[in-house]
Amino acid sequence: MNLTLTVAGSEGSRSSTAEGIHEGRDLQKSFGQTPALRGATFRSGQGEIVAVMGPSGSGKSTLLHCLAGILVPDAGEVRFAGRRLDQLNEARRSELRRREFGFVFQFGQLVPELTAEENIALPLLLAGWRRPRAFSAARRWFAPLGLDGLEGRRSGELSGGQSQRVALARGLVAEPRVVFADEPTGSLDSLTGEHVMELLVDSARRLGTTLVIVTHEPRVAAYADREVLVRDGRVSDPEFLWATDDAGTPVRDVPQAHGLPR
Amino acid sequence: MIALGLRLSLRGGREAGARLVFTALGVAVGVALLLLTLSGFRGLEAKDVREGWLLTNERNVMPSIDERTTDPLWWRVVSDSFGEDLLRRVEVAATGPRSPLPPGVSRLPAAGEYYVSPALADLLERTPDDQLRARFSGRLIGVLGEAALTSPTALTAVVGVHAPGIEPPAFVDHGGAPVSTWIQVRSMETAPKPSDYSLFFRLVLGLGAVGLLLPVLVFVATSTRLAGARREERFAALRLVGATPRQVNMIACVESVLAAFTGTLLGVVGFYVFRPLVARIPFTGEPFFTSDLSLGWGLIVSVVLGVPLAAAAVGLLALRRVRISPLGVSRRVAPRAPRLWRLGPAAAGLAALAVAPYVALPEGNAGIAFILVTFALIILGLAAAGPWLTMMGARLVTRSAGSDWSLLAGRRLSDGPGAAFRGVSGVVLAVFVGSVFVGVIDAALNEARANGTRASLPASSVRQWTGERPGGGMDGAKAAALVAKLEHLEGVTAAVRLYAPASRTDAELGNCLVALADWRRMPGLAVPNGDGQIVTVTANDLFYGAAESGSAVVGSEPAGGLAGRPVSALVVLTDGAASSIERVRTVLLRELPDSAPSVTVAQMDAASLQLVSIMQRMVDVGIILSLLIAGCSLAVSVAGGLIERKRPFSLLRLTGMPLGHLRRVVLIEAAVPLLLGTGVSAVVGILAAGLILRAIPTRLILDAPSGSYYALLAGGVAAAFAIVCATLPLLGRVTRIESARTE
Repeated sequence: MNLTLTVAGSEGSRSSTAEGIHEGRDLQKSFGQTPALRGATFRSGQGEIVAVMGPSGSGKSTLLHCLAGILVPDAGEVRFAGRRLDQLNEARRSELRRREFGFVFQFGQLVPELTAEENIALPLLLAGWRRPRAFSAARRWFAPLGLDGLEGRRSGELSGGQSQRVALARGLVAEPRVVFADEPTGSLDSLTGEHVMELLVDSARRLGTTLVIVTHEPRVAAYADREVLVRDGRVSDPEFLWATDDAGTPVRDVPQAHGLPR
Repeated sequence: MIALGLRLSLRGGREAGARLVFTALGVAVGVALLLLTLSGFRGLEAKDVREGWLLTNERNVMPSIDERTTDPLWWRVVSDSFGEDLLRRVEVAATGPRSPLPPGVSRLPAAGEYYVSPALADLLERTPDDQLRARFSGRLIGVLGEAALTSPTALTAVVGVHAPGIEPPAFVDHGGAPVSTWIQVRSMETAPKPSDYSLFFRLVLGLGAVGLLLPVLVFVATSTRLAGARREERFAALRLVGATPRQVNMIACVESVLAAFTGTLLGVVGFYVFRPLVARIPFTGEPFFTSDLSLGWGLIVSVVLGVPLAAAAVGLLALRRVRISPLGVSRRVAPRAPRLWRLGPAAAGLAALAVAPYVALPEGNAGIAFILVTFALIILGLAAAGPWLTMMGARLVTRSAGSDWSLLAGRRLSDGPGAAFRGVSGVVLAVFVGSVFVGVIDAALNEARANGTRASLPASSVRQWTGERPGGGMDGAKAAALVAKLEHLEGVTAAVRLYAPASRTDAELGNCLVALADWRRMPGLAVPNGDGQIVTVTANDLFYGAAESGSAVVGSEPAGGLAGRPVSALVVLTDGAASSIERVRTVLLRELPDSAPSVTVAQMDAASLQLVSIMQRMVDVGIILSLLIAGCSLAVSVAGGLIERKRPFSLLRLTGMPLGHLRRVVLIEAAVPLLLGTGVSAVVGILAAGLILRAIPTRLILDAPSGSYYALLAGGVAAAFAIVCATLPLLGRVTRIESARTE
C-alpha cells in the first residue's frame, strides 16, 4: 500500500501522511475456542474521531486492543505510522503505547495507591521525565478539567466522574497521537458522561489527537466524526461508503468531510 | 522506577500500607524463627565446648597450656546429684605454684576452699545445711565464672582438697590393693566434648533442622506473595499506560525487596529480642547461655541479603501472567489446573525411602544425608501436591454443591487451588513434620521402655557402691558404724549392707550377699527359695529389676561369717521425701569421699530413658515451633486473602448474598485444603517415619500412633480453624457496601 497519501479535502486541505494513519487489516483473534475478530479491517487518519459501535460481544473492544498493541492478533496486520505493530516485541509495543497512545477505559485504570496528580503524571514518569517536570505538566490539566483542589486525592476519594476526568487527563498528558477510549462514559450518569465526552473531544481536537472510541451508546457516538460498526468480529464497511446501520439507513459519510480517501 | 516503586509501597494508602506491614511482619517472624533455629544448633555446639574442660585427663587433646611449664594437679570429677540434677564436683589439689588453672576461677582453691556455680550458690542458700552444704567442707571462696559452666543452671563446684597421696584411700579392692580415683593432669582440656550423638540422635537433629527450615522458607515465600492478585491488577494498570515489562518487574522488585528487607531487619531484631526467652527452653534438659545462641556475622549478612533477593525472585515468578498482557486481570487466562505430576516428588521421596533397605545405604553421615534429602523432597513434594489435592476436593464440592455458597467456594477453589492451599501449607507441613517426629521418637521411647528396667526396690531407695572393683569393699566394722549413722537419720527406714562374696567366681559374676533378715526389710522383694540365712543375688538384678527372675537364692552363711566380709554396697531405704534422700547423700558423700556418689533407684530408671527423653523434649519444642510457624503463616495468608477478595466479596454482598453465606465460603475454602492436606500429610508422615526407621540400621519398629498424637492432630486443625474464624468479623468490615463503590 502507498503509505504517503496527499488528500485534498474540503476542510483546510489537511495533509495526511502515513504518520498519522492507523490501520488494522483483516484482523483475526480468538480467545480459546471463541473467535472475537474474524477478519476485521479498520483505518483512521490523523486527528480523526472515530466511534466504534456494535452490540455486546461483537468484538469492538478486542479490535481496540489489537489496534493499540495490547493484544497481538492471530492473523492480519496492524500498522501505525507505517510500522507493523503486530510484529514488535512486548517492550517495543509498551514503549509505543507510552509515547504515542493514550487510554481512557471504563474501569480500573487508575492506580489506587497513587494520588490524582501522580496518576496523571504516571505516563511521563514511566517515560523517564524528571518528577518536577512531570508534575508541573500534570498540574496543567486540573483547571481545564475542573479538578482543582483534588491533586492529593486517591482514586477511592474521587467520584466516578472525577476519576474518569483524571483518567482522561492521564490519557492525554503525554500528548499522544492516538487516544483509545473503551466505553469511557459507561460507568457515569448521562450528564457527567456528556461532560466527560465534551472534555475528551475538545482536548483531542485541540491537540490534534486521533480518538478511537468504543461505545454502544449513540449519544457518545454522536461526538465522533464517523462511526464504524462491528458485528460478529467484522467491521461492517471498512471504507465506510454508504454503509447502512441495523435499520438499513445509510450512516453518515464523515470521511469525505475530513478529506480522507475513500 | 525505583522511586516510583518506593512511592507505591510506602505512601500507597491504607491498603498498600497494610500489605507492606503484613508482608514485612510475616517475613520478620519467619526470619526470626529461622535464625533462632540456626542458633539452636550453634548452642548445641557451644554446649559441647563448655563441657570440654570437665573431660580433662592426663593426655588432653588440646592442652590449655604448655604442659612442660606446669606442675601436676591432682584432679578428679565426681558426679554427685541433687534431686534429679547432676552436681559436678571437681576436686583439685595443686602440687606446685604452676599447677594448671581450671576455667572460671582466678586461682586454685587451697585445701578446704571451694568455688560454686551461681546456681549452686543459690541452691546452697535455699537448702538446709545437712542436705547440701555439709557435702562441702571448708570455706566458700567465690563463684565460678561463666567459662566453667555448662549452662546457667549447672550445679558445679571446684573443691580444693589435700593432695590425695597423703591420705590413704578409704577402701581396697578384692585383692586388698588400695583404690584411687585420682589422676594427675598438667593442663586443662580445651577441645570440645566429642559429640557422642548416636546415628539415631544425629538423624533426629537433621530431621529437626530440615523440618523446621523448610516450613520457614515456605512461610517467607507465602508472605511475599501476599495479596498477589491485587498487585497484579495494579501492575496491569501500569502496563496499560505503557510501562514495559522491565519497568513493572522493577517496581515489583522494589516492593518485594522493600517488604522483605524491612521484614528481615525486623526478624534480626526479633531474634535478639526473643533470644533470651528461647535460651531458657530446656532443649537438652538444661537452658542455654543467651550468648551461646549466636550467629556468625557471615550468616546474618547472608540472611539479610539472601531473603530479600529470594523474595524478589518469588515476586517476579508470581508476576509471570501480568507480563503477558496489560489487560492482565480483565482478560487473565484461567491458570492451568494442577496436573498429576505434582504427586511425583512426594511419591519419589517415599519410594526412595522404601527401597533404601534393599540397596546398601552408605554408612554414617552419608546415609543420614540421603534420608534427609528424601525427607526434604517429601516436604517439598507435599507443598507441590497440595494444589492438586485441593483441586480434587474442589471438584467434589462443586459436584455435590447444593447451595450458592458451596458452589461458589468450589468454583473459587478450583480456579485457584494453589492460592487456597498456600494459606494452609504451613499447617500441613507442620503436621507432616510432627507425624514423622512422633513416629520416630515414639518408636525409640517404646523400645527404651521395653528394654528399660524397673527395679523392684522403691524409687526412693539410695544405692551406694563402696567397692570399686568386683569383690572389693568397705571394712565390715566401718560399714556397721555407717549403717548405724544412716539409720539414725530422719526419714531413713533401713540401711542394708550388701557383702562381697567369698568366691572369686561369684565376685566376677557381680553377686553379693545379703542377710535374709535385711532382705526382708527391703519392700517389694519376694523372699527367694532355699534354706539358710543368706541371700545371694546379682547386684544388677537387684537394682535393675530382675530380682524375681531367679538369680536370688537363699543359702547358708559363708565361712567366717557375714560380718567379717567387706561390704561392697549399701542400700538405704527412705521415706521418699526429697530432704531425706539429700540427707542420706550428704552423709554418704562425707563418709565415702572416694567412692562413686550414691544414686537413687529413680535416677537409675530415668538413665535408660535419658537420651530419648531429651529427644522427646526437642521434638516437643520442634512441633510447637512448627505449629507456631504454621499459625503465623495461616494468619498472614488469611489476612492477605481478605484484602485480595475485598472486591469480589463486596460485589457479592452488593448483589444480595447474605454475610453468613460469605462466611461459609471462606470457611469451606479453608476447610477443603486444610482437611485434605492434614489428612494426607499425617498418613504420609507416619508412612515416612516407618520407612525411615526401616532404612537406618536400628531395631526400632513403628508403633501405631498414640492417643496424644491424634490429640495433637485434632488440636492443630482446631487451632487452624480458630484462626480462620477469628478473621470472619473482618469479612463483614471489608465487604461493606462502600468498598464496592470505591473499586
